[in-house]
Amino acid sequence: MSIGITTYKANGTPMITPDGAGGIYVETWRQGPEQPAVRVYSGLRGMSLRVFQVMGGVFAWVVGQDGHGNPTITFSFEYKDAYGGDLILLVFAS
Amino acid sequence: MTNGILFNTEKGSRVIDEEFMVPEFIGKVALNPAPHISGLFTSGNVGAKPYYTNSHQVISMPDSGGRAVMTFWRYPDANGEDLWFYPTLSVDTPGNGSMPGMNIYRRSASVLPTLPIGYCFAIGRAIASPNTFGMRSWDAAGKLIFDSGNLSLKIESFLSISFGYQVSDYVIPAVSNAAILLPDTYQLSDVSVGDAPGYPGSGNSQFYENRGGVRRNGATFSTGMVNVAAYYFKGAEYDRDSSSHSGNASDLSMPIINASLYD
Repeated sequence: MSIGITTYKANGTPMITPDGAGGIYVETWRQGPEQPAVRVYSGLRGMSLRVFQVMGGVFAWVVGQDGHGNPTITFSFEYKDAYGGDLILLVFAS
Repeated sequence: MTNGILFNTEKGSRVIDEEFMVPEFIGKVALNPAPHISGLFTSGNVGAKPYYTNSHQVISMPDSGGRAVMTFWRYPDANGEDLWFYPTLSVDTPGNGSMPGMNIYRRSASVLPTLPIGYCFAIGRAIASPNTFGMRSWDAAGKLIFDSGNLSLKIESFLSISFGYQVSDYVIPAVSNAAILLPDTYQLSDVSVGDAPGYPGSGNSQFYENRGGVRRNGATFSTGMVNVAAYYFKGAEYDRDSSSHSGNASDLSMPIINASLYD
């Protein structure tokens, strides 16, 4: 690594590294009916989204890219069962 | 971004701000060795030796300061035993009121001598560390976003899982002290229409309950759906091809950490 920020444990072990080797946590996202159907993650070009589904709502989702190479998540309605409600995702990238 | 840290990396820019925050390690949790449910789900696995369930709850959760918590689990070596772990409440939201736990499925009904250990990470704003050195960042409201003195989530790799009857092919060599964040997902599958055994003429349909679990077998983890129970319902209350879990059935990722970083 040559540029960026590194944080360390007291014993010198790196914790945050600029290349995010292994992957990084991006955000927790709650998708409801009022949100746009496409969520764009600028600044993550060259990385792939890794999605952890906390709660399955009435949405299905698919990861992709927009025209600028930014990773995206596209949501669509999916009426499958009685649980319904919002979809909650933990979004990671690697 | 309005207030935060923006830095360039070899793969592009990174940002730590009020929207993209770094999960903080807040402590380890142990499971109560006395199961609160034991021996459930032992019936109905026609043609297969059943899994017994021991259901353990976390003894107490660390204080998250009102933040949501995700719990990575480090699993004991199974010594080759066919053993499945199914966490509940992998991500605990504030005010939920439920205690996370772990269902352990094994062919033997007895409780495992060594139980999984949870590693808890808070999602949301930072809480100041005692350090007087390092780096901090605040949002426009003056709330702390980042404190380099806290142990941050460091991901080593990802596992994948998909719904279905088959055990997933995703098997990785376990890194030393690997801990995994596994979704608490399940699926009910309609497998037959007919009478339940022992209830001739009932007209019940049989459904299998499958749970997304992780298997620790020697030096490898694998993930997949394990059939843990069978239910009988009067009439076809579930569609044959639909899962009881909505949202996606594929492209699900589970991050893995090296737990020894936090020991």
